[in-house]
Amino acid sequence: MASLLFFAVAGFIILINFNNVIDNDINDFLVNREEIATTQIVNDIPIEALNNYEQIIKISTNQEEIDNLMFTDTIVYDIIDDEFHAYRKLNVIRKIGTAFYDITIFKSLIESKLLVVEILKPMLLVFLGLLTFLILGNLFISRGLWRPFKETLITLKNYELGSTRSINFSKTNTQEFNQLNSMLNTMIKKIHYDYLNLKEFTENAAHEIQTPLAIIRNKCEMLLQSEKLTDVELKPLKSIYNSCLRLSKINRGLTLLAKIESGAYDNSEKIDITEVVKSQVQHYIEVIELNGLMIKMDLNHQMHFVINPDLIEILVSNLIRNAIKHNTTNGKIHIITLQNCIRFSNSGNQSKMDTGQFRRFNRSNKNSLGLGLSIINKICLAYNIQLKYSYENGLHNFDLNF
Amino acid sequence: MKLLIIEDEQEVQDDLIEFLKGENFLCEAVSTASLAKEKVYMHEYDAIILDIGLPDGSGLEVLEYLKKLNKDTGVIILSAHGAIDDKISALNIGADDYLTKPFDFNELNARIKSIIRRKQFHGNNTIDFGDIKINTVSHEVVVNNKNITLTQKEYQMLLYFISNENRVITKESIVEHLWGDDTDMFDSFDFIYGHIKNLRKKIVNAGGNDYLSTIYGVGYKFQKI
Repeated sequence: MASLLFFAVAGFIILINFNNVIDNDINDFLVNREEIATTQIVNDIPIEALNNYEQIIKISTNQEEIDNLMFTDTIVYDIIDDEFHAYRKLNVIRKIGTAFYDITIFKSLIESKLLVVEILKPMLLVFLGLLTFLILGNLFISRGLWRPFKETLITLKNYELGSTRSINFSKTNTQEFNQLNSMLNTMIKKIHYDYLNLKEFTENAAHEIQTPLAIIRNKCEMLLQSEKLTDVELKPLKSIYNSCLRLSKINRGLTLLAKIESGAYDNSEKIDITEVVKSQVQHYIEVIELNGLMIKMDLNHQMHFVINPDLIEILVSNLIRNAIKHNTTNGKIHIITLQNCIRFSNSGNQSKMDTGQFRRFNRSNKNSLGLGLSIINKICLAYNIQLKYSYENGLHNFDLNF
Repeated sequence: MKLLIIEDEQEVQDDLIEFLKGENFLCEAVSTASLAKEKVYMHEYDAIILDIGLPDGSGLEVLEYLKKLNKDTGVIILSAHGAIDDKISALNIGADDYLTKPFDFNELNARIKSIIRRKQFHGNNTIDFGDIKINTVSHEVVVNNKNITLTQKEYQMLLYFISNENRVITKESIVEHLWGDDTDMFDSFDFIYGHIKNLRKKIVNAGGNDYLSTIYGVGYKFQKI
């Protein structure tokens, strides 16, 4: 595109230059003819002897400036061709002896126009040739020379951090690309190593925490069985017990998040979403009723999606739990299916929430862990389910677009 | 009732023994896979509590060995791994139940009793507790010779209370038993009062005794009067 523009500008400049040169040439020619005509008058050759393109009139008075060359473009009617032609005209008043002469010289511009066209034609051809060559050359360069670079890009695009498949760049003849590839290789190896280290640490931490937590929890339970404890002792004990429960839940939630991220849940099957919703609602129906909530379901659209059965259960149950947890007294929960979309709506005390709520530990409620929405978000991301939140008429809506 | 505890973490093992002895089980405990294999080869147990992570191998090996011996002992897996595939492979090999650490003693207790109930083919399917009779197959509950209708959760709760007779049961423990790990959903556990109130009312209305007492600030206790 840039070369095309360049050629257009260059061609335009050349055209203008040509025109200028030809203009000057014609003007010189006119001046020349005028000099000849003047000489003829000086030498007393009769005016009639001059050719058609010169017009000399003897004028008596000198009203206008002498020796002022005036060039103008004009058109002249050609009797033979029966049409107008472009002419350049030179008009000058000369004083020869005592008489004044108004001398006008004409010169047709047809030949010069033809000249320009004749010169521009081959030039245009050369330009076009150059342009095609440039475009083809560019194509060749990008196809040929940049091919290894594109291959590297594709390899990088297909690379998945954490996959056991090692990354392989093909060898090229270009030294720079080889350097780039080897640098990328080192970098990716380092990232992969760090990633594995971190993953191992997370897994170990999550795993090793469980045993001490089990001990704390069980000791608390044993102490709680004791009948000798007074309120003063029971209160902190209960608090330790509850904190311990909370800690293990956070641990579980985070482990789950890490697992979804690392793609540990990869065995997928075709699942009827409405069935999952029905069974999960059944699971929570008593809680919903005990919390004084009204539930309305409209599951007319059948929906199938290929997903891990455990994850879809976690996803749906988290959405239902979210709807229960952030509801008002005597509030309502609606679950509606649309074409390839399922909507969970609930009434709530809070006004519209911001999307930061999908991040971890962003909680509005003291008792919640702040992991529910982030788990929902992670599962949706992993399976390319579009999750949309909206707030209208006092209802918080979560739409899943399959 | 004889139980075998296979757990390498000494503290956890001690706690398990202390707790299960309190529930009148006879307990033996080992902490390695090889010792465990020896034990299951030589003795008969009613149930085995098996930790997956053992110093000299996986608990799953012990489970496989047990199945090779054709012993129909109930096995509960205890694991620090919450991994679902671990759970699936354990259940596929033939474990009867699976608990993730940290676990609740009452929950473990209820599950052991449920397994032992299921394994006793010649035994009856009814649980008697005072004037309450429960048929664990048909889920029928008879109080004072009257049939009462319980919701699914009320039934589960009643069974949980009876399994943990004379023990203090926290509200958290009840909620976890009924809804699994979903306890964070509840702003307060107040709604559990509603459940318990309904259950109590149904039993008392049928002329049954009120076995449930509230331990202030802690939870509940189910005991014969």
